[in-house]
Amino acid sequence: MARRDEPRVGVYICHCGINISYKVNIEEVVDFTSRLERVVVARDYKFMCSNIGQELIINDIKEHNLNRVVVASCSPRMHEKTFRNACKKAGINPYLFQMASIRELVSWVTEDEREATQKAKDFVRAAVRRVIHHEPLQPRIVDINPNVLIIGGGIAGMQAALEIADAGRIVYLVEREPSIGGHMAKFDKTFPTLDCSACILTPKMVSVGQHENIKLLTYSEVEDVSGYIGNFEVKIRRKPSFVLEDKCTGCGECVKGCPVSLPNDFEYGLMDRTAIYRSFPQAVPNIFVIDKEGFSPCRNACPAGLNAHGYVKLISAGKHEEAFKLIMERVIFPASLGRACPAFCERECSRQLAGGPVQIRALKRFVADWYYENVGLEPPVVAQEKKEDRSVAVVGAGPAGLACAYYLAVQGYPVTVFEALEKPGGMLRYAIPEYRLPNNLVDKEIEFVKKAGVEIVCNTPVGKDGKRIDELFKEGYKAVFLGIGAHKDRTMGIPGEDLKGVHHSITFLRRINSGERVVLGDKVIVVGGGNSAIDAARAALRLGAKDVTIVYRRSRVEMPAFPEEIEAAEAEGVKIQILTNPVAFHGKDGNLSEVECVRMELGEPDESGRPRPIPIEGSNFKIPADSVILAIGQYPDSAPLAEDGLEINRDGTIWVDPETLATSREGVFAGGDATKGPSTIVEAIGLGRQAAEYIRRFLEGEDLKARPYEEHWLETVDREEVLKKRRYEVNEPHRPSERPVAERIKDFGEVELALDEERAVEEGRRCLDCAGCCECRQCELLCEANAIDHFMKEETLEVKVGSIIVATGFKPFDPSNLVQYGYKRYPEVYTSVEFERLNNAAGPTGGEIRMKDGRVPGRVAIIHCVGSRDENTNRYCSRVCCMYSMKFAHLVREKTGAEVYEFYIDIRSPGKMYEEFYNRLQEEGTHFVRGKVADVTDVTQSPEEEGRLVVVAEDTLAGKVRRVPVDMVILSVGLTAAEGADKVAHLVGISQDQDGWFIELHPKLAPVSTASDGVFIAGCCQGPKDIPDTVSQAAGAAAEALSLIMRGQVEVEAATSYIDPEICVGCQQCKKICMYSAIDYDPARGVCVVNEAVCKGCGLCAATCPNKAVTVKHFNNEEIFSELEGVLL
Amino acid sequence: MSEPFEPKIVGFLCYWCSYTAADLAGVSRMKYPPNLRVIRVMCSSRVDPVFIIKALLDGADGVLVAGCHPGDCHYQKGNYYARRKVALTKKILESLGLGPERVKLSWIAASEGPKFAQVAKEFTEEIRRLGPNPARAEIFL
Amino acid sequence: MEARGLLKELLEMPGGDQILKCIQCGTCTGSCPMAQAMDYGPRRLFAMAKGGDFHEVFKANTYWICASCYFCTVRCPRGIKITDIMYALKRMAVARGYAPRERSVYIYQAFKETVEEYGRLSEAKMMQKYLKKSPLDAVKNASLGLKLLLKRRMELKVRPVKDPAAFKAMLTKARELAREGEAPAGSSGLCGIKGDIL
Repeated sequence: MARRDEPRVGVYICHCGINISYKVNIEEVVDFTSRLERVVVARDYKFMCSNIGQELIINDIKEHNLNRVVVASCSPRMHEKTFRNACKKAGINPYLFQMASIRELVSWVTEDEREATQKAKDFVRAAVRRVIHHEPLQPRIVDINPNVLIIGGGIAGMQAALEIADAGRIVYLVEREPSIGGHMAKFDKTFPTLDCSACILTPKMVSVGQHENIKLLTYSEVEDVSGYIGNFEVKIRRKPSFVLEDKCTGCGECVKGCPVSLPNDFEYGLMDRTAIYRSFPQAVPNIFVIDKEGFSPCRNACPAGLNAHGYVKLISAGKHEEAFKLIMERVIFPASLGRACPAFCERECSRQLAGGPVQIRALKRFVADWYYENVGLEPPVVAQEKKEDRSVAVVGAGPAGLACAYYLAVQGYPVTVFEALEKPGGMLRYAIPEYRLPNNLVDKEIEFVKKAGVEIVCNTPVGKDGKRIDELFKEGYKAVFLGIGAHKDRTMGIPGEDLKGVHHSITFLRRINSGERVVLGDKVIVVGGGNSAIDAARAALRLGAKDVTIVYRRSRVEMPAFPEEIEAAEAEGVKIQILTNPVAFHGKDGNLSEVECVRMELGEPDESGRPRPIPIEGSNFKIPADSVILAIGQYPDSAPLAEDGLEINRDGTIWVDPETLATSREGVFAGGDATKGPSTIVEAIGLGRQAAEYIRRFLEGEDLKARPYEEHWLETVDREEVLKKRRYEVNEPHRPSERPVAERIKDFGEVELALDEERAVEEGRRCLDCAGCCECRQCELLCEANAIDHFMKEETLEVKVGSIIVATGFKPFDPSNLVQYGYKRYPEVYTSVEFERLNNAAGPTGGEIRMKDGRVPGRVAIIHCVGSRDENTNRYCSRVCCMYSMKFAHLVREKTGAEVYEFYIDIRSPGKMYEEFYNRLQEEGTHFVRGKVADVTDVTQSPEEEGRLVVVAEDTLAGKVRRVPVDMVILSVGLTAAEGADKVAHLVGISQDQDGWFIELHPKLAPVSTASDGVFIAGCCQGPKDIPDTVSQAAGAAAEALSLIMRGQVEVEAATSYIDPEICVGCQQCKKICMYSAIDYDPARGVCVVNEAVCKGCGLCAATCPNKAVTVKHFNNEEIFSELEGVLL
Repeated sequence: MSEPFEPKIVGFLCYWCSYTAADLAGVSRMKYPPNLRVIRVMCSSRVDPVFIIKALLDGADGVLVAGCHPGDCHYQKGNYYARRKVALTKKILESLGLGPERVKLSWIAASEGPKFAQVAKEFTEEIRRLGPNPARAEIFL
Repeated sequence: MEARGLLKELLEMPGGDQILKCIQCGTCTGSCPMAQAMDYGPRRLFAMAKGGDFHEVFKANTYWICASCYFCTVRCPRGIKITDIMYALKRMAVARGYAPRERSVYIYQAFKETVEEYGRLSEAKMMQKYLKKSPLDAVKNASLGLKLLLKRRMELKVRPVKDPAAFKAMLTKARELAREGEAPAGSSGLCGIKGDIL
């Protein structure tokens, strides 16, 4: 019917029994209505929604040629569809209908009858005025995709999945835990029949796992949902489990090798588990997963990328050889590092905040020493086949050069190392004094490197005095690595520097480490604040100096030396004079006698970021001294290399590409102090290994930058989060002891002593396993099926479904805040879910009910309504607690014979055989005390209460306050919304009520549907309920989904937006604000167009358009204005 | 005493949240003053400032716009736009001298039946205190 | 009937209508540190009040022993302000002339008289009035009193409000209004015995 037709309106006022008529004077309203413009027919009837009522409408339409219908009755939510269908049946477009709600909005909420009648009249008049402007609309028909998405793999999700899959449809079942089963998998027995939970659950789990129509996606979460009913597009994120699902046989051998220990969430923290685990033996899928949250802070702190977490755990498990092998994968010289490394890892260790860092460095020393003693100097891996045509020359036998050499040699590349000095070792031998790092140890470790296939030629400098780089290439080497270190001392350039008695630190230390006993005299000044200065000072003491003073131009805080070193020096009697700098050396007969210094003050920061030291004019003073050692800086001897075609930086270091370590000359790489400036051993080794990899790529003709150096890298886990989740004792670490000061300054013997095996293993156990899995790879070695892939990445799956069932379950209430019950304060107070684990045969006590000290409890109290029926926590009743509490009473009695006290307010036992269960428990002798517990306390008032927990409650039926001493207390905690329920609600477009449960479409008539078409809910996520009700709801939701699928097509609301191209100016405001991107701009016509398939009909575009070119069908401006006039005039 | 002033209040309720709350208030038989006349829209963002001004010019003493709580809009962000529009409208009303206090924006979730009744009650009282809409007595334009 | 009337009166007092929410769970009595000394614990008292046994309720010593520790109020799962109802029952009992057996009523009296006179509480004055009514306690607490004095924990000086006469006038007016029924009978205030509500 065209709009130009004269509107003829039929109005029907419903009595709704007496629901409307008891407040609204129907006669008056009918009379009023019949006199409105355009109203042809005005009637009333008791039940408009009934068949007769609808017949009324249909007949009138035919008889009176009506083309508009108004029904004034209940809410459009109830019957708009009904009446629209009636119109359709009668042959007019269903959108030419308007409903006025005079029940929910008028008769039920208004006290006064006069006012109610007036309000009803206003609403009817508004509806009449509006319906005149309605236009016929064609509803959209959409196809229903037959696939179904089910979120949640508990009993509800599984039941629904099986029903739908059995009907021949595909189900995607997404579960965020590694196994399906939900909470039911944790129970022992279920009420009231006392069926074993696993016995009834596992057959369903197996069916789900094996069903060809169910795509089981465990350890996965739904990330995004878009679309609309029948056409949802879902993105599912599959978390990496690092175990290949199709290869794992579930044999469990891997667990035996895992050294990591984490709190077991499945057991509610009652026991620990390994990083590779299976939640419970009957898990489906029956595979293991690895809990790896990232990398531990120690691992990511190491400049060489050494897996500190890994080897610490291996040591704690007694696997010293494996630990050594793990270390050798990333660094060489473990024994040296174990003595001289600054231990960047320890600074990041989470234990820093819990007693003291794990002594990672000492553990490395222990395991290296152990390996050399028990296994020998055998490299764990040596390549058998030598790649003779790709040999490499390394210049400099320091840590960088030897690391590069080692890592190339073990892959089969022949390496020759050219060393300028007499012996190899670089700074390790010639700079670090023997009281920190003995040279015979350096010898041993170099021997180790040689056994990997590295040739070392000493007394052969490369540079100005020896071979040139060109020569090396001519000799047949295909690549060169420069690890020449930073061996040249900086000079001060002040008068008197050439006096006898003025030493420079690197030269000085080299002489000492070569065995020379330099005579320094009694009074020694050391200039500088770095590690060299400290080394020189402590060496000076050992050479007999009586008074050693370090003079430094900035303050203590800016000294670059390691804090431990400075402390050790001071302990040995070294003095530190800050804000002092020498300006001249004075001597007698060519020998040093005095050092003239000037006082300094700190100014603004300079390029190093530290405050600039500014000399104070006129503050000169003289210090008498026998020797002075200048330790003011080192730099590489790189000048000659410039002639070999290498670019040298301003500070003397060799320029290299930061990623590939390639110098400016092809085939020549460099690393260590030579490129970084003076730094640490571990950094040098790290760079040496990195260069080895890039040299390998170069030798094999690969593109150097095709892949990054570290292909496998994960983010550092958050220390604070880790500490929150772990249980630990705050204790001091086993620090390695030191020789007493008086004794040790007399010689160059090692100051630090080793940890013995027992203490080392204990220290390793202090590690908190921050990242979870430590990647020690022991599981891989034990897995016969080769099912472990530590480099697995997360995957995203995109699926299309037609309907979604949400079955995300619940979370048990956490009673930690209810201090009166003593949870987490007294060891024998358990929540019900924890207690379930004590009963379960796979749980921490093997199904026996035992206290934490192993005793069998003689008296047990079960406290109802913890976190339920309480204004202070949750107002609702959680429905299942009374029943499961009684179940516990029975199990406790049966397994231990203990006396059981149930403290309740009301006993709620409404289901089938529930009341009978209650009777049974009474007859078994359970003591039911009606009174909500006020306190659980260990403060005793009588000898009978000693050593027990006392439950205080008023026995309201007897009218007395009772104090009941018991051994164990079980808190029957209520149910709360599941963790992350709000995220799921947001994703699928449903709402949560004030308690967090998902809102159903109608609390009585549509408990499994939601306001969002195509999305259904089932189980506890809709509200607390027991297993029979959950399964019923799941079947109901499945039926709803199948009903949709069977219909194949569904009508979607036709109220979409429309843009009038005549009025639209193409400003695109509407396009900008549309949240569904349903508006496109057509540049050809210069106007915007609505994509009706995507438009949801919210109307924002219409309200935004400045020209009012956009209208929303069925909610256009005319319709709303006329409704407005109707209520106001 | 002359007849007490009975305000006429128009309420634009969004179908998904506030209209449902109104239905729930009805189902729970909560009583509130009858002065509120409800007009259903799909989303609070549909409420054009023109509607509010027209309502006031047509003689409404107060206008209520009710939508879902921030973050819960069925159409993602519609209620945020509604908030801005109402704020803008109030500024315009100020300059027109039409009394911005007569317009109220309220967030009412689908389960908040009692809140709806309370808002209806309170807003009615507020408007009653403000007195009749001056636009009724004067002609604008 | 009288009982219905009394329950109605209780419900109209501030906080009194909360008694309808009580589910008789017993947390209040279980938590109450004074329960052993009471004739009936709070829960039982409320059950009797709701059932109409007001004679027993008024005879009980419960609200005279109540220490106002608020333990019950904090823990009540229905969020009932139990202390408010205690005070309401106390006022109703006093208004009907029920004389309690407990000496603690003298404290309440002394408090009321002091505040009426000075507009503000003075601990020393209050103790003086109390001890006049209960002289034995003077002997029992002599050493405590002395210790307090020596440690300067007891202020002897009385500091009235600026205008005690105006304050007295306010109280008189409030009593008048209460009698007329315009002010609520139990506006938080003082209590006395023998028909003096405020």
